[in-house]
Amino acid sequence: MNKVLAVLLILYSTLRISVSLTWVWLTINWRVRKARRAFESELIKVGVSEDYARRLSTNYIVLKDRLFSLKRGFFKLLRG
Amino acid sequence: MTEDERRKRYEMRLSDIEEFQEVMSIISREVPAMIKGIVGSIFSEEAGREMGRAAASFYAELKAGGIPEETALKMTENYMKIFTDMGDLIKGVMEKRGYKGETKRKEMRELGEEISRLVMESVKEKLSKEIKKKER
Repeated sequence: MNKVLAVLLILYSTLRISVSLTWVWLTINWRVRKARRAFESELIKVGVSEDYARRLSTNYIVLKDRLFSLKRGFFKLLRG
Repeated sequence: MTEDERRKRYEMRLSDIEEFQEVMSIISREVPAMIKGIVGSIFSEEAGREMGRAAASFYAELKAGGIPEETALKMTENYMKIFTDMGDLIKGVMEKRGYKGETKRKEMRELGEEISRLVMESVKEKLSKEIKKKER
């Protein structure tokens, strides 16, 4: 394989990772939103106020942030 | 540097680049899918609904048991905190594992030193006994 072609393919893979990770991040945020809405609607059904349901559903954001910080820790661990 | 050596060096570099390119290609395919799979199983509409149902039934049971609204809400909030503490739990387990791994290595090193010290002592003892026997 040509050296230039190999370098171009590396650049393509790097770009592909960046785009994929951005897409994953967007998808996860969207999923968190959907999960929160579903969670709130179940609570509202049993008579919990909308404000309180929203307050309880913030736990989803907290969990997402914690998992992302865990992922950062994992990559740090891989780097040594 | 001869032409042949130069050519060999160039081919080696090229094979390294090709190998790296293959690794990058696999990473770009697998890593995002893996992250999406793991995180996606926790954060889905269905998972949210299930968790909502669990919290709602917990709240409804408390209210049916005669617990005042304010207390029931507070207890539901605490119940939900268990869910968020899951992240901390995983983190804690990972940190502890690392700590334990380090401790284990230290313990093993100390044990190895202890064994070699004991072996040396027993060899010295045997040797001195042998020498004393010969002297007699």
